[in-house]
Amino acid sequence: MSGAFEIASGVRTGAVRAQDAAADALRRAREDIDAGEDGLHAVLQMFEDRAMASAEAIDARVARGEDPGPLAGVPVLVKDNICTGFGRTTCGSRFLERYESPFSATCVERLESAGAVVIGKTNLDEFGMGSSGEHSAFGPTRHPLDRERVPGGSSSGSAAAVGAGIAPVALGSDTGGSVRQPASFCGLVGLKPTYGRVSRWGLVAFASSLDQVGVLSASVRDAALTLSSIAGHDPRDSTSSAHPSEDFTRELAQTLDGIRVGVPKLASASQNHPSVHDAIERTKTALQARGVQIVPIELPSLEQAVPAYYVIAPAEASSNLARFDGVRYGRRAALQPGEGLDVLYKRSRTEGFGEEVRRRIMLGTHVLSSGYYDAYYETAMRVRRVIAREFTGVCAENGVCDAVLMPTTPGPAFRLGEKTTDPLALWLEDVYTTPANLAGLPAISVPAGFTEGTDTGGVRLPIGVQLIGRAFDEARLCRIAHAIEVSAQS
Amino acid sequence: MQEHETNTSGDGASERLKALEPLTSERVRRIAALSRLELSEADVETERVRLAALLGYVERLRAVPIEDVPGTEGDAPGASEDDRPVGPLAPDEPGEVLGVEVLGRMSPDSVGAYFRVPRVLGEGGA
Repeated sequence: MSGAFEIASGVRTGAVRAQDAAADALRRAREDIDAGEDGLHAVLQMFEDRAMASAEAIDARVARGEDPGPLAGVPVLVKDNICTGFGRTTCGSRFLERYESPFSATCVERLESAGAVVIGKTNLDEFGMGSSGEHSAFGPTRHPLDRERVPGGSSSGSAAAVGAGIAPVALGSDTGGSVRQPASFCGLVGLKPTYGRVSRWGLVAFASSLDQVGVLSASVRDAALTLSSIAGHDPRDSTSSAHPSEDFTRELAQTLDGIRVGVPKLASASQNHPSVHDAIERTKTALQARGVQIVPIELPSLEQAVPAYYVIAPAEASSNLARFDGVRYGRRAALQPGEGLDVLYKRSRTEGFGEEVRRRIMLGTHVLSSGYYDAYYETAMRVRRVIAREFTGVCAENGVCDAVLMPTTPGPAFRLGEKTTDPLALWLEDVYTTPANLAGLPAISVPAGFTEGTDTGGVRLPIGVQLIGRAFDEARLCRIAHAIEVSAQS
Repeated sequence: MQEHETNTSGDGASERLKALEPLTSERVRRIAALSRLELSEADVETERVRLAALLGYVERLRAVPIEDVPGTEGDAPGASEDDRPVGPLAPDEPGEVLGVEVLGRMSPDSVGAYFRVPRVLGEGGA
């Protein structure tokens, strides 16, 4: 399968037909759906007629000498917590199993305005809550290289689909690593923009101060190209930044001379898989060979990000998910004669939400309760500010580095079921990804090698490394990531 | 719909002590009720054990010195933006609305401009 850049270039020049690209992607998506439990379970629904009509319209525009846009004819999948004004938006939840959004998210509108063809929606951990892809009401997603392993989450279907070559690009959402972690597991690029860079309008809210729409793709160029199309101010999102979009591909070919990359000392490093350590060391060497100065840095509160995140995110989730009450949206439980509104609320929510979502709502309710608020939520918010200060301190214009390099995950993709009975074990998957969300900074995971396969059942599993940059400095982040990508491929 | 026993002006020191108390089954039932979730007696104990483990992990937040760090009051409009992870909110102004007909279509049970709900009067705690 070609990448997004190649498809768009071909469609714009008339060398490739958008209809052929769409038909190929739809066929691969259909194969995944038809395979059922034997497939990846990456794609939840397809928009065959609509996608082919869109592709036909793009080909017609090219034939008339028009430019359909930078993503002309690129088949794209969208995580199913991002609203589309066509088909269903389930959030991977029984609660919204039949929910049809009356509008499309801004990012979907912008994708289509740029010429992309939305071919379907992807599986996910329910409402984005999970790091394995196992918490979807519609069944777990499987890893494209090893069906017995998880693809990561919560953008599990987007990662598995791009990893399997169903589509070159997919949108995900990243609240605590949900784009970067599955990208790392599946050998992809996962880009989480600066908070406010991409409109959240139409992204079903999990934790509003942390959520960002992100991109999963097979290359840095495709991620940068897609971000260029979906970024920019949106008056419908009250947290949208005034920063205009940019051409994030513009710096990819530039040298890295003068770039400084900070590498923090990690207290948890000894618990990481050896391949993660090797990937970081290889990356440091590769960057130095390209003129990058590697700078040891201190981020003393980095590893307090997970506990802070798991107070703040559930707190916001408990508030955001209060709207799912069986009255206004989605599922409504059946009542017995004499049962009233309170039973309706409780039964609809208990039947509609999965175990992980229910637990996070309860945790969030607890930390916001009278008598516990200061001890948990207020403390976590202060720690969040400390973490943000530490990052902005080292990465400021006059700071010691331009970006921070660290692992994306502590290890490679783990086995299905390995962490389902231990929520804390799953939380610790997020140790390196949550800081960027708490600080609101852009971050990208880029492939940097594989496991040796000796302790992963003979399968060589991908390992990603992560770069975290200054706010709104995605172009430079993509430039450094592109160099890592090229080095890892050589 | 969901109820929060929110208290933003509590005594921080006493709250910290309260948070260190073991999580009881009674407290788990109360959290579930506030969350508008049903919890069987068997599930109460399962959730108590899991939530206690998660809250125990969260305790490590106390290792971070935060005495001089502004908390949520620092996020008020006009506060310093230097270390705010989330930028200032746009003015809260009326914008597009979906309209009653669209809202009704999203509801599992609506009649005209109204959501249909079961009997409300005479219930406690709804």
